[in-house]
Amino acid sequence: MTRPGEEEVVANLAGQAGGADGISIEKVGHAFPTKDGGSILVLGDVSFSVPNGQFLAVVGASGCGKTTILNMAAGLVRPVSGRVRVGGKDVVKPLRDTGYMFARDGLLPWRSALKNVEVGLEHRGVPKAERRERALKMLDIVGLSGFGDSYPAQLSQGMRQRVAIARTLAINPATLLMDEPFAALDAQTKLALQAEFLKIWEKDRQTVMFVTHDLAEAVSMADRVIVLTSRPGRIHAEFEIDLPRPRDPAEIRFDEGYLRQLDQVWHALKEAEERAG
Amino acid sequence: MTPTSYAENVQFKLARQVDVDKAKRRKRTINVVIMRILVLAALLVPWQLGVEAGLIDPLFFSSPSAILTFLVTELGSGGVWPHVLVTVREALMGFLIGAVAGVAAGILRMQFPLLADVTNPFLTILNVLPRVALAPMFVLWFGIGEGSKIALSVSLVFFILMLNTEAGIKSLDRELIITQRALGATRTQLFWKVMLPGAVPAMFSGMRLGVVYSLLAVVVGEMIASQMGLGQRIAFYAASFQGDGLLGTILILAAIGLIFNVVVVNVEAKLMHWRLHDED
Ligand SMILES: Nc1ncnc2c1ncn2[C@@H]1O[C@H](COP(=O)(O)OP(=O)(O)OP(=O)(O)O)[C@@H](O)[C@H]1O
Ligand SMILES: [Mg+2]
Repeated sequence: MTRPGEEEVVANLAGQAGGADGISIEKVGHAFPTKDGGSILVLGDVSFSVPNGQFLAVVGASGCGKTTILNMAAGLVRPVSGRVRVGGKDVVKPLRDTGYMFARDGLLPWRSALKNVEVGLEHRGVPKAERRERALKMLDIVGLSGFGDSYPAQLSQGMRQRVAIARTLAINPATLLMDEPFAALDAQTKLALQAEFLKIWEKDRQTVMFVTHDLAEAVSMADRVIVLTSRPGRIHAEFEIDLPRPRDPAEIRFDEGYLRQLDQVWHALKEAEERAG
Repeated sequence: MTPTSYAENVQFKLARQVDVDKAKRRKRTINVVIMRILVLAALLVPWQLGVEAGLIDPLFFSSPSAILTFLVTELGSGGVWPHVLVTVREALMGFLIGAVAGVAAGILRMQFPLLADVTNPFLTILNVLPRVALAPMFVLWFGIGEGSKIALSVSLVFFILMLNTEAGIKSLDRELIITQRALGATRTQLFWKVMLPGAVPAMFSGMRLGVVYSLLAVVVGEMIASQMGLGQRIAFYAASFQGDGLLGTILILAAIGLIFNVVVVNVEAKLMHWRLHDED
């Protein structure tokens, strides 16, 4: 907590999110209706919280309800039972200071990269000049200055995902929800974007809930990793990742402490999958 | 070549390759044009010769030279222009009204599912109805002038544009909508910034169909009952066995249809530049 600019960020968060509450998932249970008239239990009594400024990674088998939890925090899905709060308030609709990122970039194909970065600011009624300035800055931060006028079809997948990062960060979110944001990228690009994202995050310290299937990604980036059981998802294990920051996901691969924690998480995940299966 | 010019060398080779490709393309274009002329000649020459040799009855089939003479005199003297004007005006009016109403209806029905559910059976019945059957009724309602033709055109164009707009909105990538919702878009913003622009390609394919059908509708309307217009001319020439007039008028209609189509395609290309980028 000695990083310069930290107070400013915390003050900012307090102003935006109304307190140091981060994300809290309280006794959440969820089921979806099935076609045959029954229902499928997806989450069974899940409780955890992400304190302000923490980077939490969530791992678990496919179909255990990770995306569903993110959708709840994003205000896109209401839990059948339990509460989901962000910044101390129940989430009933998408919050203005929550950013959500997916594996697919979701860029609007008819908008240039710059206009895509601007779109969230447009939704918030930010004046044009200010919007443009901020979008240009964000493009620069993700290493795409000069590509503002390109359309998504003209960009590589890695570049498109960079635009998506810029778009998500442009709204200056206090909370970031990320659903396998780098899963669609090749190994090299993935490492590069992980490092870039970490650099930005280590400066701004948003509250992050990051879902991934890539354990190396989880351990190298997060402060804490939660392992869910197979469907219905429940918390199986939890790890504090106390590796020093700033971290570089490429460099850290050979770090002893990192490898030890990676091994622990890997065993926990295997156990979780076996137990439920 | 010095070793540092390896990149230059590659670029030079690429430039030469581009030149070669260009020349190949140009040659191909020339060949295509020549072959098209040959196909046309293969159709026209036997026709003309057949008529001259008395093998083809010009009363039913006319002849290329007679059609050409008809076109030159009619277009030159200006006799056909008032009819062209009427037909074009009706087709454009019908297309405009039908397209605006169709797009609006499609949008409204997609925004308000209750409206869609209530109107579905009525619109389905109207849409499966052969619209030409309504032509005599439109004459009763709107008179023998341009109104009845415009109404017939609207009755076709409306449905084409409504259905295409709806298909465009329905087929929109869910991911785009979820992403924008998560980015804080309100319902209205979603509509203006995602659904509407996302449906534009489908609207344009509707419009490309729509202009052709608008022309079809007004010509049919004119053939049924009218005092002016190219459809009326066609009915007249057919009834009085003037093959050259009949076929010449059809050619004029084809030219009008072609121009309509080119205009829509060009507007579309202008608006869709974001999509065409990866193709050129
Ligand atoms: N809208 C829905 N309607 C019905 N069932 C759903 C819906 N959304 C998710 N499910 C079901 O809920 C379960 C959990 O889905 P969810 O997307 O949260 O899983 P996940 O943990 O994100 O999986 P993955 O790792 O594969 O992305 C799945 O079995 C899925 O079939
Ligand atoms: Mg998922």
